[in-house]
Amino acid sequence: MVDQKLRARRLTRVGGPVAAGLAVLLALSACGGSIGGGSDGGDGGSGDPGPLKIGMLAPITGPAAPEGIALQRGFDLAIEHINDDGGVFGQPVEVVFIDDQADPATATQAAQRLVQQEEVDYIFGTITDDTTIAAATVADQAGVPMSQAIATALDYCSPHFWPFGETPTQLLTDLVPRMVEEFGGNVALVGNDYVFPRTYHEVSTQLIEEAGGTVVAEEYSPLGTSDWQPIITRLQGAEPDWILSAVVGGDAVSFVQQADQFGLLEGRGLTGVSVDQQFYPALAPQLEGRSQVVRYTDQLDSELNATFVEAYREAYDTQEPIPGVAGNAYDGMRFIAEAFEQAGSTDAEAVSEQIAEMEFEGLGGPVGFDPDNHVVQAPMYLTSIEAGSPYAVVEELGVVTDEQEKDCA
Amino acid sequence: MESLVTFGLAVLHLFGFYALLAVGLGLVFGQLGVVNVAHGEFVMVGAYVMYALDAVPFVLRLALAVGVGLVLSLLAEWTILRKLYSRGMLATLLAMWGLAIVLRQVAEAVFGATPRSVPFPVQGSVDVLGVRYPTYRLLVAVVSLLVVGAVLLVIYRTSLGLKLRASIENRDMAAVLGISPRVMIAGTFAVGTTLAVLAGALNSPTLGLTPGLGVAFLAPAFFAVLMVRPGSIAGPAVGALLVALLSSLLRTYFTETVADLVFFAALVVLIAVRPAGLSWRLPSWLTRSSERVA
Amino acid sequence: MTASLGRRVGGGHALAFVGAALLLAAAPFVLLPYPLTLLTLALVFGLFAFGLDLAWGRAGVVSIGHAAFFGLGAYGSAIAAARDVPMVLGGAAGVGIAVLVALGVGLAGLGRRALPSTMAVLTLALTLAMSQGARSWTWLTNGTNGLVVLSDSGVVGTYYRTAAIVLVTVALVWFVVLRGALGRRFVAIRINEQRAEHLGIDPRRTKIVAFLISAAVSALAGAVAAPVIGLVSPSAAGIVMSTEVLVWLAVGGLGTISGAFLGAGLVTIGDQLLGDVLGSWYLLMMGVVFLLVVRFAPEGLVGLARAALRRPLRERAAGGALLEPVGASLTPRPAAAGSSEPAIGARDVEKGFGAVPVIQGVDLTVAPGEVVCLIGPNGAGKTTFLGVLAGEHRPERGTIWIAGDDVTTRAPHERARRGLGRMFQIPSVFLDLTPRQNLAIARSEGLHPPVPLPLYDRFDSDTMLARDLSLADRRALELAMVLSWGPEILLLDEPAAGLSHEDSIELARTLRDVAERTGCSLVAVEHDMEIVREMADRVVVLADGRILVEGSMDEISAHDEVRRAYLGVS
Repeated sequence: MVDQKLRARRLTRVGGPVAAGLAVLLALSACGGSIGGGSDGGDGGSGDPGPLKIGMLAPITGPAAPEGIALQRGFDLAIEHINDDGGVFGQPVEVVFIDDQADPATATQAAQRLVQQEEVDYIFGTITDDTTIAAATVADQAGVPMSQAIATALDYCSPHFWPFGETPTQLLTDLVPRMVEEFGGNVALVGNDYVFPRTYHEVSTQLIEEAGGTVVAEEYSPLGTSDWQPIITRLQGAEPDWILSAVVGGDAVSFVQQADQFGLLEGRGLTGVSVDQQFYPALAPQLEGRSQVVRYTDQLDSELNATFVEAYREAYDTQEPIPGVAGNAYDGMRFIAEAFEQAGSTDAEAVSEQIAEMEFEGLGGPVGFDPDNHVVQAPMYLTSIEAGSPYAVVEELGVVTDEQEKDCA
Repeated sequence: MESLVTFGLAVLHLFGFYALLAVGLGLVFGQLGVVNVAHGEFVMVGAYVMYALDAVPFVLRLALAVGVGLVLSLLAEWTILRKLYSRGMLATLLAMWGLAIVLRQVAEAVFGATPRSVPFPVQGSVDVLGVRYPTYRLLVAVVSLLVVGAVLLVIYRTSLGLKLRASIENRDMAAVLGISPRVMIAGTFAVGTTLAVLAGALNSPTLGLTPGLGVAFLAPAFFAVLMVRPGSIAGPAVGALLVALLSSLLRTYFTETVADLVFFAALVVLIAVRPAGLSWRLPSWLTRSSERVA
Repeated sequence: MTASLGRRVGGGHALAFVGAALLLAAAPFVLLPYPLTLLTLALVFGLFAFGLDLAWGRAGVVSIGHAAFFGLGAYGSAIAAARDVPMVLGGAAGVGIAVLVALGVGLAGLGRRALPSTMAVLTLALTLAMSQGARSWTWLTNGTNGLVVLSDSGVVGTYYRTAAIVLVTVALVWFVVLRGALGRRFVAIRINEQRAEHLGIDPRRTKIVAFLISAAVSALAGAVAAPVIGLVSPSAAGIVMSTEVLVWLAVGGLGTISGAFLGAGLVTIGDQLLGDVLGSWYLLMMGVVFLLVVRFAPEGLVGLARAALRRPLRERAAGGALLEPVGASLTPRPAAAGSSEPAIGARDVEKGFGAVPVIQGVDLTVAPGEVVCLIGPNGAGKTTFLGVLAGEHRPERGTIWIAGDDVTTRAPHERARRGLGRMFQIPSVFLDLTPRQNLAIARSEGLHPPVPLPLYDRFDSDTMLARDLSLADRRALELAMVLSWGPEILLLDEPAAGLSHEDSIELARTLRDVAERTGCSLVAVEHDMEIVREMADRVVVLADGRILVEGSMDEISAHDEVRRAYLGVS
C-alpha cells in the first residue's frame, strides 16, 4: 500500500523534467532527423534547377527596425517585379523571411534555419554589421552565397559574399573635398560609439587631410544617448567650419535637434549619415539646404526609378523620401535574380562567378562588383536636400572606386 | 567661468529631467513596493502624445499628455497591478516589464519605427551669465523643478501628503486612520507615472522619438531612487541631482564611453560604502516643518 | 557515501534523469538539423536560467543583471577561439572571472545592512558596465561587431556536446548543492532568514555562496553557448539578455529545474517559429502572454502543471531540497550540569536606541541547567536584553560570554552555533514549509541529539503548511524546533502568551523538565507569575534598564520595592 503510494509519487516526479523535455521536443518536432535519412545542406545545383529560393533576413523589430523595414520593402518590391516578369528559371522566386531583430544570436539561428531547413539558394539582408557577420559566417560554412544592402564598413569577405552597401570611401570621397571647399577646413567628427562610425571617420579623417583640412574635434557617444549637451559644448569649443556626423537612429534626431537649439548649426555645414533620407521626416527644417552624397535617391531621373518610386509609394502609402537601403535592396535582389538566370543553375560557384563579372542596369545606372575585393561599383550622386524635392540630384559623380584590401578568396 | 556656467546649466537640465523621473519612480517604489520598469515607456508615451497631437497648442498638449498619463496609469494599476501587490516585488516587476513591451509595441504599430521629432515651441536662446543657452531647455529645467517642488510641497505640507506619508510608513495604521489604501495606492501610482509622462512630454522637442526611447532613462532614474534611503520621498530628487552631477561631470571631462564606465564604477563604490542607501540631512527640516503643520 | 547517495537520489529522480538523458540522446534522430540547433540553443539558455534560479529561486538573492556572467563565459570562449587558444581554457577563465566578480558584488551587496534593492542596483550597473566594456575594448572583444566562434563539430556534434555538459552540470549541481546541506540552507534563508540565522546558518555566507554558484553556472552556460550562438557580441552581456532570462524563469516557474528549461525552451523556440510569422506583432503578443502568466499563473507553467497534477504539498514546499531529518553523527550533549563555567553571561551591558537608553548596565550570569526568568514592567528592556544576548543588537558597552567565549561582537548565527537557541515573541517558523519540514531543518542543523519529547509527534505532519497553523500551534512548533535542535541555552520571549492557563502550566513544566534532563539553561521573559513560580530557579527583575533585584520567587515577592513597582501590591 505504502509502496504503491510511493511509486505513484515517483511517477509524478518523473513527470516534471520529462514532460518539460517532451513539450520542447514536440514544439520542434518534424518528421525525419539529423542523423540518418533526409538530405543534408544545399542541393548542390546538379541537374534541373528548381525554383530559386531566397532567404531574407531583416530586423523589422528592435533598434534597427526603420532600416530593416526599408530593406524589406525594397526587397519585396524587387521580388514582386521579378515574379511579374516571369521569375527565375521560368518559375516564381520563393522567399523565406526571418526577422533577425538586429541581434547576432537570433541572426545566427535564422541563418542556420535558412541553410539547414529551408535549404535556400541565397541569403539576402541584415542591417547591422554584427548580424551580417553572424549570418555570413553561417552562410559561408554552408557554401550559400549572401548579400547585404546597407552602407557598411565591413572588412568581412568570403568567396560568396557580395555586399551591395556603399562603403565609407564611396560615400565620402566626393563629399569631403566639396564640404571643405564650401565651408572651410576645420571639421568636427561625431558619431555613435560602434564600429561603423569609427571606420567611417577613419576614412573621413584621411580624406579631410588630403583636402587640406584638419579634424578639430572627434566625439563618440554610446547608442541610445539622449542628452548631447556635453558633446555639443565640446564641438562648439572646437569652432569647426562644418560637422560630419555618423550619429544614427533616434540619436541622430536628438543630436541634430539639440545641436540646432544650441546654435551649433548656425552658419556651419552639416552632413554625414545623420542627414540620410530616413531622418528627413523628423529633421526637415534642420536638413533643408544641406548636401549629401548617395547611391540612391527617389529623385533619380530614370524610367526604372519612376516605376519603382510609384510602386513604393503606392504599396507603402508614404510620401517621405525613400531610404537608400530600399533602393539598394531593390537593385541588389534584381541583380542576383539576373545572375542566377544567367548562370542557369543554383550552384554557388557558378552564381558567384556570374556576379563577379556581370553588369546590370540598376535604378541609378550600371551596377557591378570589383571581383577582387567584392566592393560594389555603381554611380554615386551629389544631392541637395530641398524642401519639396529632398535629395534632388545636383551632379552625377560616377563610380567611386574603393581599393581597400579584403581577403575574399 | 563660462565653462562653469555651461556645466551648471547642463546639470540643471539633467537634474530637472531626472528629478521628475526619480520622484515618480521613488513614490511608486516607496508606497507600492513596485519597481516600475515600465517607467521609461511612460516617458515615451508622453513624447509620442506631443508628436501625435501636433495641431494642438503646446501648453494644451502638455495638459493632454498629463491626462493621457493619468488615464493610462490608472488603467494599468486597475487591470494589472491591483491583484499583484500581495505577491511581492518580483511579480509586479515582471508585470511592469510585460507592460513595457506592450507599450513599446503599440507605439511601433501606431507610429512606426522611423524616428520622429517634435518642433520646439519656443525658439531662440537667452544669455545666462555670458553663456548663450537655448530658452526652451532652460524653461523645461525650471518647469520640471517647479513641478517636483510642488509635488514635494504637497506631500510634506498638506494633509493629503501627510496621509500619503502615513500610508507609506504603515499601511495598516493608515487604514485605521480612515485612509482608503486602495485609493491611496492607485493615486500614488497614477501621480508617479504621470510625472514620467510629463517628463517625456516636456523634453520631447529635444528627443529623437522612437518606440525604444524610454529604455535609456530607466537606469539613471533607478540609480537616483536606490541611492537614497528607501521610502524617502524627497530623497530621489537628491539622488537625481547626484546622478545629474556625476554624469555631467564625467561626460565633460572624459570621453563618453569612459564616462559611462566610471559612472557605474562610482555607483558600485558608493553602494559598497553605504549599502543601506544614503540618508540625507536635507529632507529632515522638511519633515520637521510638516510635523508642526500636522 | 552510499547512504547519502540513497538519501539524496530517489528512484523517481534516477528515472527522471535517465528519461531526460534518453530523450536528449534520441533528439537528433527525430529532429532535422535546424530544430536541433534550436534545441541546442534552448538547452544553453535553459542552463543560464537554471543558473539564475539558483540565486533567485532557491536562495532569494535578487539579480537583474545576470547576463553579465553569461557574457563573461561567452567572451571567455570567444576570445580564446579568436586567439587559437583551446576554447575550454577560455571558457574556464570566463567562469573563474565570473566567480571573482560575483564575489565582489556579493560582498558589497549582500552585507548585513544591505537591502534587496542594493543587489538590484549593483547587478543592473554590472550588466550595463559589462556590455559597455565589451563595446569599448575593441582590441579584446572586437567591439560591436563581436567575435565569431565557429563550431568544428557540426550540428549533431555540437548538440551532443552541449546536451552532455548541460545534463551533467544540472545533475551535479542538483546532487551536490540542491540536495545537500546548502540546498536546505537556501530554502531556510529564503523563507525565514531570522529563524535560519538562529539555527546557526550564516545568512550572508549562504547567500554569497548561492550567488557564486549561480554566477559560475551562468558563466558556464555562456561558455557553452558561444559556439552555438556563433557570434559573441556585447548584447550577450547586456540588459536585454538579463531581462530575457528573467522572463524565461517567470514563464517556466521559479525554483524548479524543469521550469527554467521549459521557460527558456518555449520562449526561445517560440521566438524563432512565431517571430517571422507574426513579425512585430509577435513581441506584442509576448508582452500580453507574459502579463497573463504573471497575473494568472504566478508559479509559472510548471506551477500550473503541478497544481493540475496534485503534487504532494511537501514536495511543492521543499522545491527539490532534501528536507528530511538527519539522525546521524551529532555529538551527544556534554554533561554540562555541575560545570562551574556559566552557560551565558553578560557584564555591564548598555544599549540604547538613538538617544533613548534602554539597557543601562546589566550584569547577569546563568549556570548550566539553570532556569532564569526576567520580569519587569513594560519598557523595562527585557526583550531588548534578550536581543542583546542573542546578538540581534550590538551593545554600546559591556561583554557577553557563551561558555567562557567572548561573543560580544559575534553575529547571531555564530552564537547559535555555540548552543544559543532563541524563541520569539511572535513565533518565527518557516511558514511556507510543512511542520515536519520545519522540524527536519532544525534537526539537520542541530547541535545535539534532540531532547526526546512527545511534543514532536504532533508536528510529524505534511498535510498543511506552517502558515495554516494557529498562533498557539506555531509557538509550539517553534518550541519543538528549537528543542529538537538541541540548544545549550534557550532564550524565550513570553513562551506562554496566548495559551490557556492549563496549557501555560503544562508548558512551564515541560520547560522545567527539559532543563533538568538536558542541562539546558533557560532565560525566559515572562509576565505570568504563576508560570514564573513553576519554572524559575531564579527571578531577575528589570526596571528602567537596570536589575532591580534578583533571587528566588519567594525572595522577590517578599521584596517591597518589587511589590510596589511591579506586582501592584501596596
